[in-house]
Amino acid sequence: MSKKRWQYLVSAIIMTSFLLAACGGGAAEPVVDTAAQDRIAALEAELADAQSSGGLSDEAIAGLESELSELNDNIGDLQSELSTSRSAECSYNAYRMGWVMDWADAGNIVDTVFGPNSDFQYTFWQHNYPELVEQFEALTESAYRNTDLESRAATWQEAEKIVVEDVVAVIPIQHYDRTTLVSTDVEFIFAPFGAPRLAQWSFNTGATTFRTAVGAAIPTLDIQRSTDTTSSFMIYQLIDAPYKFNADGTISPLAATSFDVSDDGTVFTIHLREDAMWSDGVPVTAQHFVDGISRLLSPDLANDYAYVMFDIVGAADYNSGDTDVLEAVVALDDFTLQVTLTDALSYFDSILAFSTFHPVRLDVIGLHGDAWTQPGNFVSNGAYVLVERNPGSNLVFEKNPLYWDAANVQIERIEVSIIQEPATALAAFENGELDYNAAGMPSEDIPRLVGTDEFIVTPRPGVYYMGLNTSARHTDNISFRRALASAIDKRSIIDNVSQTPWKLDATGIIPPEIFGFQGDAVGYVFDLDAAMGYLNEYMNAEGIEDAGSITIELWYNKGGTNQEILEAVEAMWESNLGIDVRTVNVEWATYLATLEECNVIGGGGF
Amino acid sequence: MFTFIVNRLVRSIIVIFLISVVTFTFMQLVPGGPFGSDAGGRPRAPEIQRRLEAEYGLDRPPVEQYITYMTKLVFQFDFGPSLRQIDFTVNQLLFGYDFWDDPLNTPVMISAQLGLLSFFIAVGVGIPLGVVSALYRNKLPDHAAMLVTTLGISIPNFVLGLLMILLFSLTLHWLPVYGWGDSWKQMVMPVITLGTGGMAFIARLTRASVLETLGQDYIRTARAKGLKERFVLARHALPNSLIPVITVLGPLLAAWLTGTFFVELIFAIPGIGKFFITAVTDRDYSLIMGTILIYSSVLVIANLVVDILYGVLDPRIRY
Amino acid sequence: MTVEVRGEQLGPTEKIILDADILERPRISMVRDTLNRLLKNKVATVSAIYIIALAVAAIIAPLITPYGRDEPNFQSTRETPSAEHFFGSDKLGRDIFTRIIFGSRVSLGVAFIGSFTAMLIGVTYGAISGYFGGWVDDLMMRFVDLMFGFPTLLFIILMMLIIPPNSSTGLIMVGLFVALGLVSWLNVARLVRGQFLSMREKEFVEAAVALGASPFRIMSRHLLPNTIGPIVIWLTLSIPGLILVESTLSFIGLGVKPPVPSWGGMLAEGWRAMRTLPHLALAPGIAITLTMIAFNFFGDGLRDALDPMMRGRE
Repeated sequence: MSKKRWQYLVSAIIMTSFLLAACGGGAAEPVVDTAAQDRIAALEAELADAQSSGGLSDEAIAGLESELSELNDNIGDLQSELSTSRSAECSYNAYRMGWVMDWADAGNIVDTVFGPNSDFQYTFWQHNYPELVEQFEALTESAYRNTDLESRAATWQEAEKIVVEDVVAVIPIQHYDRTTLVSTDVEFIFAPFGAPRLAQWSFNTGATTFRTAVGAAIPTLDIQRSTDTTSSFMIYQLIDAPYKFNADGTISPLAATSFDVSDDGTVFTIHLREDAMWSDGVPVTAQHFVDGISRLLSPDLANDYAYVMFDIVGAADYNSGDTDVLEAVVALDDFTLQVTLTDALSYFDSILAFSTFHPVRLDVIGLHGDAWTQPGNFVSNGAYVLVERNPGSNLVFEKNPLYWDAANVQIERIEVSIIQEPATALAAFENGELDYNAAGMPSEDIPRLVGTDEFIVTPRPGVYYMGLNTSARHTDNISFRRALASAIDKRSIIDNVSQTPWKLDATGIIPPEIFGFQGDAVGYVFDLDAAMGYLNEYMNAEGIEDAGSITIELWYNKGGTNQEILEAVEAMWESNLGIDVRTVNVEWATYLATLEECNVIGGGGF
Repeated sequence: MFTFIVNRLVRSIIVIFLISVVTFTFMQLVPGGPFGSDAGGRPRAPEIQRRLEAEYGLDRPPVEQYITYMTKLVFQFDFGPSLRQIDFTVNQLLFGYDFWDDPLNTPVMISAQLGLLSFFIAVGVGIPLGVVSALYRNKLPDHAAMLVTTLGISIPNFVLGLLMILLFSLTLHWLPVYGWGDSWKQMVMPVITLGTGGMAFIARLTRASVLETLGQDYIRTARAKGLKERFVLARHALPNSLIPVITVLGPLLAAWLTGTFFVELIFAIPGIGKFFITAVTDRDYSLIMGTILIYSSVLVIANLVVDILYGVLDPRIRY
Repeated sequence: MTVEVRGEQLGPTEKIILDADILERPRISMVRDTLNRLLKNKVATVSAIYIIALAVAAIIAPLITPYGRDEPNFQSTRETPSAEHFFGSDKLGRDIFTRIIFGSRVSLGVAFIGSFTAMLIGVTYGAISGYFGGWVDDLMMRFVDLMFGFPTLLFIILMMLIIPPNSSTGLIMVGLFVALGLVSWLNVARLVRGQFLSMREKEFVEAAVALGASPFRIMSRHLLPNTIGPIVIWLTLSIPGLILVESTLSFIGLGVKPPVPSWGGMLAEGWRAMRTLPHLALAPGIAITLTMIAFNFFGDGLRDALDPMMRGRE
């Protein structure tokens, strides 16, 4: 018996060591020498010290300097090694991405996504077209400071033209919208931004229990941390922002009654409703909103939406931890909130209806700690309270009896189910188990559903696009990028492939609902002759005889309708231009990680 | 017998430990991380990613991360916080807020109910089906059973699930499309969907095994002794032909458990299976680890039970 | 005494071959015998013909398909079956019949090569374990036990994620083969090990040892040929299983990458359209089912042919 046990031990040890070896081997990556970096910092400090005090001899300083430069060289070598070892992954010529806008200003797409400082684009145009970057930055600068809507929109259009037409860093494919299924028993309102507020919905049958489904788990009900649509959908039922979005994209008062803007446009004074109460009976005060904004910007939380508030004086510094106080957001009294901006920003009023202005109860968080978002603990100032929440399964909301507008809230109870498979969500809706399907539906069923009374299309400003890598072989040439942009028949993709004929094909990136939209006055329309002209121009310049010898890589992520759309793009490029297209279709997390890695190494080394 | 079980338990613990090492290794190797995009799938600024990684300790060396994680797991039974469903700990996601409050309605128990019910259905239908088709070899019942089992094996359960929804919910309006635990009606389709593949497999195996047993000498002897056919079948043929069926149940369970992913996904059942796929695509490391360890534990225990059962059925095996 | 339960686990297929009368037959006549018996079984013969035809079609695919594999036609998308498109067309207007034929390359390829990989690993492993027995066997079987504790599909999923995203289709397929092979060799290993364990006590092995044959020679010349039967049967039965695993992987988006077609991928793409465009799911679904049936009948026929004693009480 003891012999047996000994054998188990040996076998276990052998296998563990084998696996651990595999673990260690796998985790090893080319790493920049951090010890060297520390040494450099120390040397630099020493140098600066010596120079300021003058206490060191010249030779000593020269010695330190040479050591420093040597170390810097070493680091440079290591970094370039790192980038070449990674550059093999960054072989994409085109990638797919989309953006749904958060508020109604063209800057939220033109600059936030495609600007030279954006983290969300992987085209590297900012490295390859320095003069245009300068122009672009001058335009954004003036647009942000311009409160005149008309001329502001015109400025954004110029910036849009740089990205879409002059650089051809992006090929817009189609504009987004919101397609949902709502029972004919329900009167609904969808706003173009934010999530639907069910307090404004009602049944025309007199029913009071509303059943809906969402397509993903609800990661968080934390008012400041949430960014995704499913979490926001839940939070919008529980929490009221000062204003709310209307169906036409304008805003109207909710937790506030009005706001004033100072003459120079930088100081927003918001007057709050005085009869509002939290669901535990505590009055809603301006301090709760101040706490909400401070918590959003708090350096400890790393919130995704913190950037939305960076136009507030000192907000960015507060978020990065450089200052401890946020002086520009203050409660003047219990019901007056004041926010000071760095510049006059005409669009800032629409942010009053955005989730970044949600209030929070720090005392509740202090009391319950991490469990403050659980039913029983969560305190809301909105129309509903959270009564049940089962992770991965369902949530239940009931009407908040203390809500100031409770008399006008007709739906008494909301039951939310999490249904991840769209085919199931659709079947449940069609079987009468749901009143509103927010969980999506298979694209295959859309042609069957279009035209039914339940099928609702409402605006949701955003664009589905392809970015072009301006550093990669072939796509580093403007004529070639123009050829690619002109060779996609977007209308045919929308009508024949996706069969969603109501959708708008895009040539520019500003959506039709947004002031500044210019139709196909910007960008490239489908034009085969032009495309062939651009392609020939490129081939002549490069001395390429056969278009078939041009191979480009098209990257996209799995899921949704991406596959059919991108396969169509691939087919069109291949058949219209005669080039060879390799598609790389990756799952989302890998996709983002790879694109980001490429962004870090700056698109060099292709 | 006792030493055997203790022995196997010790070995099981080693196995589960190794599985945790392998899982952790794989998670290190898979590209991307939990914070690459926000919960809505929008790419995250690298700076925010760095800060979140630091917050959850993912910037530490892998070996240190592993040791920290396992220490907490072993000594406090704490699977750590979920990296993507940030309101919850993995324990809450797997075992509910308070397991003992309502054990049957916790995710892990819901998955267990689904798995066990379909398992009983599969065994309860599969074995008789296999016996019948063996006894009527190459006659009509055999061919019919063959057809059913072949379809059962060759239709992936996501396809079968949707077909059932189309038939029983949307056409006949007998059963609700999704959910679990509110009424028995919700259980019918998921259980059948999950059970069909295993049923077909067991039926196949039983058929082959019974046929083989019937050809053995001792059956011939029994018949030659003039024993009644029914007695020969019940006493000699069946028990012996069940032995190989029992032995595959262990490995079969592995396929079974993974089948629950798809069935839970299709019928929106709040079990732990559907967490796995989203956890993998989200790179929710602690949740991946949690689900894999639970599945492995079930698998290891099931194999143990099968082995004990095997010994009970086959007197030649002693422990 | 501690009896290793695992080691004694002999499925029905494994026990067949233990019947001494087969072992005593000369090898050549056994093959011919088997073939003769197999040919008498009409269902198995038809199945074999179907499988061969399918394999040939996969190889000469471009010669028999009416369209190119990825040839789109945006004017005729989502068409129902007709004379132009036998099985209809998909969202991009590609001919489904053409894609089914080309898809058999991937599906059969994954199944065949995956099974062969598993067989190679399993036979080698099982042979070594079974032949040497003792503590070697003990150690090696501990490892098999360990692998049985792994939820295999979970690991296939993780493995598929590790393959670099911009790898060629070929590399991804190889990854698929390896992943599938790595997790399905266990059964073969056990099967072969069981056979070897019982056979190495037989007289003919003792004779070979006495004559000074090397272990390798004994394994390859004496033991392995006597194990071929069950291995072949295992092979025919595991191939359809792998076709299904491939479709499951495609369902979660980890199969071969588009536009390369595979049956599983086409099924995973088309199953949601069951209510609007049933042909998208039916065509690959029927292809998979028919192939499964064919392999099953063929496997059954082969089993019967290899063992005349297995005829039950006819």
